[in-house]
Amino acid sequence: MSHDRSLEGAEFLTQQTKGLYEPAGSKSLAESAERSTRHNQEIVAGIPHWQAWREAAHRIKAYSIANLDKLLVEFERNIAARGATVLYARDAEEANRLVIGIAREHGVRSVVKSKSMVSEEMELNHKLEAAGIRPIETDLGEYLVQLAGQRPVHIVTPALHLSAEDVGKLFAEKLGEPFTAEHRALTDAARRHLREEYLNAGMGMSGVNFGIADTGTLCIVENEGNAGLSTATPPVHVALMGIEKVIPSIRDLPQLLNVLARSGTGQKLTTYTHLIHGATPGKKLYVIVLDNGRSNVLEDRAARMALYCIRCGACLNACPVYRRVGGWAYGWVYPGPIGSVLTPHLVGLDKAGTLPFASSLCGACGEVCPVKIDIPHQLVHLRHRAVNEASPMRSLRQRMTWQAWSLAMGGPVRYRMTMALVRLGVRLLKYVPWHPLEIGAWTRGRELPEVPERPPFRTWWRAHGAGLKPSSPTRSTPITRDEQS
Amino acid sequence: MSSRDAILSRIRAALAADPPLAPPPVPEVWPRENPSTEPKLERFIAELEAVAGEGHVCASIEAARQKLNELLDQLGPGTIGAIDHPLTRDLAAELPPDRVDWGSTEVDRHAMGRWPASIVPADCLLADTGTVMVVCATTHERLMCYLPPACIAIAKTGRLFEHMPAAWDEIAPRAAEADRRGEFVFITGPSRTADIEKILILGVHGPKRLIVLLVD
Amino acid sequence: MIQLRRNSPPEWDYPRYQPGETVALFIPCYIDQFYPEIGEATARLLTRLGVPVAFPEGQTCCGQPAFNSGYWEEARRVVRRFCQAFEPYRWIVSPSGSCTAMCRVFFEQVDPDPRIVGVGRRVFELTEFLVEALGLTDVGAYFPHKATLHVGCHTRRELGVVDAPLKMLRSVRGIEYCELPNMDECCGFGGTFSVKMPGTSLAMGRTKAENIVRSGAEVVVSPDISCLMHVHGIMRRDPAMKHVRAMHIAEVLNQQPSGEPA
Repeated sequence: MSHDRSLEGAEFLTQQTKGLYEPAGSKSLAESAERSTRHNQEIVAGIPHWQAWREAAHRIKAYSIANLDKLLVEFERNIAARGATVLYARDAEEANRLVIGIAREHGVRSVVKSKSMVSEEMELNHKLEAAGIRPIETDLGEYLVQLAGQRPVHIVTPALHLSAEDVGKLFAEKLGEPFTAEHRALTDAARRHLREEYLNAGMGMSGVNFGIADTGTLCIVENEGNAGLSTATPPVHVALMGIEKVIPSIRDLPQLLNVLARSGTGQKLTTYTHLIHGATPGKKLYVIVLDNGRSNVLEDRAARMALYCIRCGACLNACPVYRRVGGWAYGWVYPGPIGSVLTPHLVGLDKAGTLPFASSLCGACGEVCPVKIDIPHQLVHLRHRAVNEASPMRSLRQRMTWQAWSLAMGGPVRYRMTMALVRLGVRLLKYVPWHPLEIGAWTRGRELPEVPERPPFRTWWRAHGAGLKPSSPTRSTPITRDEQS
Repeated sequence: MSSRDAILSRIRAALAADPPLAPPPVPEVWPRENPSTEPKLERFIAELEAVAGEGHVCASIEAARQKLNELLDQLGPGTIGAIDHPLTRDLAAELPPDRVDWGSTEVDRHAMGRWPASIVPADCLLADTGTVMVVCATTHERLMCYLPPACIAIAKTGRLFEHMPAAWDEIAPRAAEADRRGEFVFITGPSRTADIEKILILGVHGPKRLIVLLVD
Repeated sequence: MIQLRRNSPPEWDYPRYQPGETVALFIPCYIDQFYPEIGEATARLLTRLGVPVAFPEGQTCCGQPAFNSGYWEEARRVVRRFCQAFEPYRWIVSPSGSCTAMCRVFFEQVDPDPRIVGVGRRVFELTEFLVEALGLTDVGAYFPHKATLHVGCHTRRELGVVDAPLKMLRSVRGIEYCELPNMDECCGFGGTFSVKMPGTSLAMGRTKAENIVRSGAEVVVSPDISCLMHVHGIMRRDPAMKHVRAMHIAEVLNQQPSGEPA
């Protein structure tokens, strides 16, 4: 799989040292992400059973992934019985061939697309254009980044980095619209331009939020109506579905929809929730089931949970690193915490091995994830793999440093000797104008801790520990939790 | 080996070592209060308005027809698209026959795009979220929910459910029918976006107005 | 809402502390070497509350820096030494939430040996020990200053400890508690993150520092001095911020009405 094109603007993925992930995100992205998180926190604080909801959603996903092959077969059987053609693609290249094949078979000249992250993995738009077929993104945010020739910065709000002025200039330049920075006017302009596209397109494409195995149903959620129009208007509908999107039963849907909408956009339900029952009479429905590296996640048992993701974007909004470095810094389709735990599996640790290190392990992501993916634990797991397998983070220097550290910490005598050297080193650094490597990375923005005049704690303890006499005994009964609140 | 077989066998192999996982119980994490119609209706209207939908409780079908006329005066002249159903037939009974298109196959798509409104039957309503569910069996019926700038739904108050899980006992088996086609669409207010600076704008690609007329 | 983990309440109840039981102090390396006064304050505080304390001299480190960097094999030797030193003790208390989290939550990943996991689960952060195991919030401390509280992310999210330090700080006599804006946001230390991603780490630290100043506090208090090492390190460089002091909560709790620490 060649992903070199995808890694544009992501030189950090091959860098190892200084300059890694410098803040470069846009202010509006940071502010919007923070506002979304705070808003979600307020909503969640008002729901007494939110944790139970998360647990229920988590279990549905756990069961789905644990039975993935059986559910895919069931899904395929039931939706094929409803007139759909189900095709499987091992990788992006195969999926692109299938899509173009379908388009050619039906004489399609333009394609209206609603949001599909899978299509971003495929770089489908480029491939369609190269094949002489015009792709039109209809989700407003995707439409904006398509016009701007940029990649999305966020999986739910792709153009979060663009201000209204930016959009106005874009429309003036690319659509010949008179300049305005007024949100209503800009949205109306987009609506006008896209209307014609829906009506003329020979094919509509969508992603799939949930593929329901026991009924053979596609569930797609959206707010703009563009997925409804993209899938209903043209005579051919091609749905792109990652293998992990299949769920066991229609009965599981309300629980998943419930947490998805709230975590994604702070809504109780998105404006449109579509349950598409196979091929509508008179139309063709193709469902392309794509692997593209997801089997790698399955094969790494400790990492499997990452496939539970329902693409809500809450982890992005909550991540203090994402807010500051922005969506492109992650180098590929999925930014933020979920990107850091998925991309290494999908494109390979050899290319994306630095991503799991783009985190302070604060855990805000795991806290907000509606399906309880333990993202922080996924991150340390991938770090362990990255330093041991072929990746930009595997480093002989680092290994030797940590082995030396491990030796130094292996016993109290070695520890004391090492620490004496460290204290001496920190004292001497005051006199050195330039600090190398990691020391320099610290001191470029912070004071080093002061080396205290007094001796280490151990030394104090040796002198005074034996003399510490406990005063009166403590209360014998710890107070109960009720008493404490 | 086909891609299908390659993918499935790889998944199977990856999962083979794991003990089987019991299916999770259908969660009972939704409180069910089973309110009567009155509070459900109030709640529905409040939630609908909170998502910028418009709700009108009509004392009778005649009152609903009158409301429809008022709305059509606002929305302008031109063909109204409709999903053919006893509810919508009843609602539109006093309109001139050539005003309403019940799903003619010869209509020009671009002309359809200029229709000022649609009337659709609500199959059920969800009070907790102000949601209207519409059953669409054909392409025409699906388009009636998305294409015109205003969508008018006619609903019976007896079809008000507390929330989605409460309605699901009834909806799930219907969605499971082998010969079910088209879609069920759950509509919660008019179309919207916050893709520019996270500022909410109503009426993007789908309807700008969603109006629900409720009769007993 | 805090995501609660398997290794913290309410998944399990805090064990009851029986009067007279010895508590082994786990004093992390950076406190031992750079902030020994915090170790002393911890020892004196517990003693004053009637708890016999011990300090196993064989201790070195919990292994967290290597673990977080992915060097689990290297961390394992250190974790085993930790367990050797602490195994005889029923109670292990540490003035560091992040090191406690390493022991209680992550030892299992480094080495699933039940003895090691068992030792890890007996490690408690100081304020959670005082509040949950001893049942105390007011320890008779006196600290007449404007103070704000920062709780480190591992403490907050891996251990689920945020009420304990807050309750204890607010019970201190004479204190004027200033709420920290956006208290739950990461300060940007993250261990090696601070030097692997210095630009972002500093940006996050600056935000935290600005919030500390906005709180109006004269002193920023934390159960995690590692966070403060980073944030205060930033504040000390800024003439507008360097008037703010940084203290560990053990030091504050050990302040007595006479003005001298106990």
